[in-house]
Amino acid sequence: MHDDSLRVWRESPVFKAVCRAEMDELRASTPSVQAAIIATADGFDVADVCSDKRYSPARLSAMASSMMALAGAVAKEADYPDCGSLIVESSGGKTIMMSLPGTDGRLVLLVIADNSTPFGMLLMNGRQCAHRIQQRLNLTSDSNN
Amino acid sequence: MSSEHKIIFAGPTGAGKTTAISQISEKPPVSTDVANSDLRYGKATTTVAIDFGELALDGGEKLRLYGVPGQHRFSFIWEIAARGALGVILIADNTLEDPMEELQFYLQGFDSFVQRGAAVVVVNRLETHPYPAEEDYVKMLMDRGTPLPVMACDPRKKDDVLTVLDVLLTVC
Ligand SMILES: Nc1nc2c(ncn2[C@@H]2O[C@H](COP(=O)(O)OP(=O)(O)O)[C@@H](O)[C@H]2O)c(=O)[nH]1
Ligand SMILES: [Mg+2]
Repeated sequence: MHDDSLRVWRESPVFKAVCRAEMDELRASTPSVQAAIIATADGFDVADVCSDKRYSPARLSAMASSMMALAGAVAKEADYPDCGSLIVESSGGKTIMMSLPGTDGRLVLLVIADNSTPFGMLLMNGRQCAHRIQQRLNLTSDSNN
Repeated sequence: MSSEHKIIFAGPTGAGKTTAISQISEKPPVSTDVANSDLRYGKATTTVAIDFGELALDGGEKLRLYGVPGQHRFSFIWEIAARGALGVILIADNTLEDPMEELQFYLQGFDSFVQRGAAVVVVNRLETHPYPAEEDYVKMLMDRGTPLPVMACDPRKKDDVLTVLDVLLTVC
């Protein structure tokens, strides 16, 4: 009845370590990134790399799950099947949320960045980070049900 | 003379907020339920943003129905959803170990509505869990200086939910 694969991910040290390593790699390649978090679709933080204590992974994970669910509802209203990613553009910086490939939308990558990297590059580097996590953990949509 | 009102459904996870809105909404509600991974709750899915439904009343009034998530980590949504709302339906889950204590968190979260009497308290699952009884809730609310109407309701029953809305609109 519960989503057990989600719980396994939430509690697996290996899973967390791989996520953190790849998000560290994202920060190294993209200096504008201030924080990156992997969250479950029901709002729990799995792993995070944050430049600063003012970011709360717990709060940001709850918010990321709400945002992705709302964006998914908007997509559905437009007759589109899912929401792959969501961008918040602000004068202070950008926030990207994307569903982690191979997880059927059950994990979300949240990236917070300032405006010092061109947006296309930020988006591409974020996507590559998500793909590396998928590949290293062998995430496929039909193997995690 | 038609008007539109926004009504909020709040209360603990599993109390029946999503169920209540789906019972009375005229169109299929907007749902933001996702798979639940939290073992504290025996539910397959849980609301992570809002439920949204719509209902037109005989008098020409239109109601916009918003359900918010129960978990404390989502309390940031409450404030956003509550903006401009007419009133709040607080659902207590009588199967919890201390449902009246749990309700305090939601009474505080919607304090401005509770203080001005723009709220009703609804108690579910009384048929299997008769205590605390409705009178106990009434007394608790009196004691904390915020008397509100208290009603039994099965969120799975459309008529029950409509009756609750009726009472809320009367007091608001
Ligand atoms: N038997 C019974 N079941 C109830 C009652 N109230 C709610 N439920 C059930 O409890 C569950 C509540 O789930 P949901 O609506 O998702 O709760 P939410 O978290 O408040 O949105 C549903 O399966 C309802 O059918 C009640 O008074 N009696
Ligand atoms: Mg719900």
